[in-house]
Amino acid sequence: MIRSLLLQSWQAQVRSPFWERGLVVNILLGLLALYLLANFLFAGYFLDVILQNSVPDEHPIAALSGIFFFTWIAGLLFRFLMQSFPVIDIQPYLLLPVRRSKLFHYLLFRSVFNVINLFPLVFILPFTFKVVSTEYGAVAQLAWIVSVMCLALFNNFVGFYLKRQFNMSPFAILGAFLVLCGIAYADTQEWLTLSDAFANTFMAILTNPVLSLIPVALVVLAYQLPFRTLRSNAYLDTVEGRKGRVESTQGIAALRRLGMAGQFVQMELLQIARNKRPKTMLLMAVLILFYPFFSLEYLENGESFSMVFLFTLMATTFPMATYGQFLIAWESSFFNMLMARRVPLMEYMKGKYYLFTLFNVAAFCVCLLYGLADIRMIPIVVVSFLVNMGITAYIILFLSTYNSRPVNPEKSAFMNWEGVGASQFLLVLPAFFLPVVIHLLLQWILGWQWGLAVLGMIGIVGILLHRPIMQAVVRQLSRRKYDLIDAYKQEV
Amino acid sequence: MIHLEQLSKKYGDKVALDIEQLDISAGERFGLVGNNGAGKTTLFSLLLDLIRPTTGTVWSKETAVSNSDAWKDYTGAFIDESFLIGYQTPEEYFNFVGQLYGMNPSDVKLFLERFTEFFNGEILDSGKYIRNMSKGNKKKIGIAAALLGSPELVILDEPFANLDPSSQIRLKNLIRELPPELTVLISSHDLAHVTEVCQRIVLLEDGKVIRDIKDAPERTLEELEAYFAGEEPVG
Repeated sequence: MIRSLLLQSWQAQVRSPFWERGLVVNILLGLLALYLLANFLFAGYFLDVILQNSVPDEHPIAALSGIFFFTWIAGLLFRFLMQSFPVIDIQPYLLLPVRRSKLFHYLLFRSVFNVINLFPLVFILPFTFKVVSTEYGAVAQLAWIVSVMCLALFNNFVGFYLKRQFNMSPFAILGAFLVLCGIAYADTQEWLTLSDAFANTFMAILTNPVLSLIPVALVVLAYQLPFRTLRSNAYLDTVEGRKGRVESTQGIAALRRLGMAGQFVQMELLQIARNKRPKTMLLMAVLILFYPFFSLEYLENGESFSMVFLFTLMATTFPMATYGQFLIAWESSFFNMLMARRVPLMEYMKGKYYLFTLFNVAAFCVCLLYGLADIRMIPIVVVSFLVNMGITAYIILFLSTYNSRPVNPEKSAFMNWEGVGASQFLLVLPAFFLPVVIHLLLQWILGWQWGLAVLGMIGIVGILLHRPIMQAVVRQLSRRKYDLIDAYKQEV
Repeated sequence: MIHLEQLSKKYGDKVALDIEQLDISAGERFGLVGNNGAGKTTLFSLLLDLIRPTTGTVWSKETAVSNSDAWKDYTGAFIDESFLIGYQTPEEYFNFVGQLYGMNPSDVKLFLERFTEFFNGEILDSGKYIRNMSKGNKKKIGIAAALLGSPELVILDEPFANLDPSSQIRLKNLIRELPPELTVLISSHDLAHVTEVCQRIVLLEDGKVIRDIKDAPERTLEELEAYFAGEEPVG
């Protein structure tokens, strides 16, 4: 039974249209995983030496056991964000003579075979041979490995549960992050010494291998969490009908003044608010606004203004670049309608430019606060804003017509490679680096003020040339229209 | 209203559509029938300039559809779900489409009144996003939106599919009550429905016009059924 389920999920993978198109990405991801595994193996082999050098007064095993608590916390967070747990389209199976619980056991069984669960094993294995078995014997070594693996499996099942339960809403992610950071912080402040409890347990397992039954029992308990929720949600009505009532928006009055373009801005805002992927991506963009903070020291040393400019530009361009990489592809599911009904293309593209204006003004206002730390940040932030509005925004608008892969904005943003292709990299490179290269050159020849001044001027010229540039963008969209329609026909 | 000549569309070696000449005059109720793959949706997509013809041109009111956007002012269409904005509620969607034609929300509300029966209380004020609605309800939204903005030409691909029996009957009445000067193009697998609402039936097979039946409503259904059953036509 489980074998035929495995076969069917494999077929679903390989026969999906995304598999072939994403083959290169899949191979790259596989290579990356192998590379990371090799790194872990390598680090694991020298783990005893590393531990001895970094904490010389403590026994390596004790030192490692103390770290386990933190790897456990970090691992849980990592899984919550990154691990994709297997799903099964349960509907076709509900009518077949397959026991429901068997389906869920299968799902959980499959989730164990994730490369992430291999990392702790690879990391710990050489160390146990070099240190644990020589000091405590083979039985203790085995018990220890089992305990470490149980920690990984515990995270696996709890991660499965959390991810299903909270459905990856951005606020749940933020909440989980804060809770886990809070626990870790409480531990370092010795309010709640969980790390010591971990260390003591792992040390005790060595002298008394029977104690490894404790982590095993924990895994069995953790298994019940996702299993029970899966089982209680296994009816069609619970799967489908849990959504609450939604109310129609009346629209934002201020946007009405912008005419049809304002309507398109409103549409984009709804699109962001009601779809998981753009919402999460923009939330991450907010976090990146803290990025220039780390570059302030370059200003203090007076080393390189280009470096600070790069950091500031990255932070302020990021909202636009991250949303803009799928600027038109977000609308792939109703692109036909946009092309066949009376949609004025100029207003449509202007709506997107106004949306970028909104992003940029928000980023500008936040980044101006860096002026409190160093007054020289203000011209940098102003020039970044001008560059974004006068150069980068147009580049993104223009290049977005080349992204001919459909995107489903309802899916999660993490580890989601849908719609990602070479055009994204082509898009990001000029957007981020062109202005910085120009600044670096000008700083080198004339000095940093001149670099900023010239870039600011180019930005202003770009803003003044809004009309002709937008006309060129619209002509580009009309040219690419048929190719985009054809490409977006593919199922996502 | 619509004139097309030597229109063909090829995908590689496969001919999806190949029509020598076809004219559709204003006010005509035009039904397009044919088996799967006969080229019905291809023809409609060409009329809406969603795909480029391999040869030939589509003329709408003496203007080539690929050269100017003028046809968009008077053409309403619903082909499939790629005409619906999934994350909007039906009201938001209608208001958005209405706005494209210069209608404000109260105009739209007034316009939607005649669909009360057709919507059967499941569309407006449903508290759902369109993406979470049933196929039949999505179809109803699409059909109503195609009629927004007082078009002169309406193109509906398979409007009867996925509708429940009462809705099918209501849709037929709705189409019959449309203003007589409105040109309506409908494709359908359902021979009975399409012959009831259309005076002219064009039968496509392998991209070619096999039959063009005009002004013979009483014999049309018989003839079509005989054709699709694989029998030789009577007379």
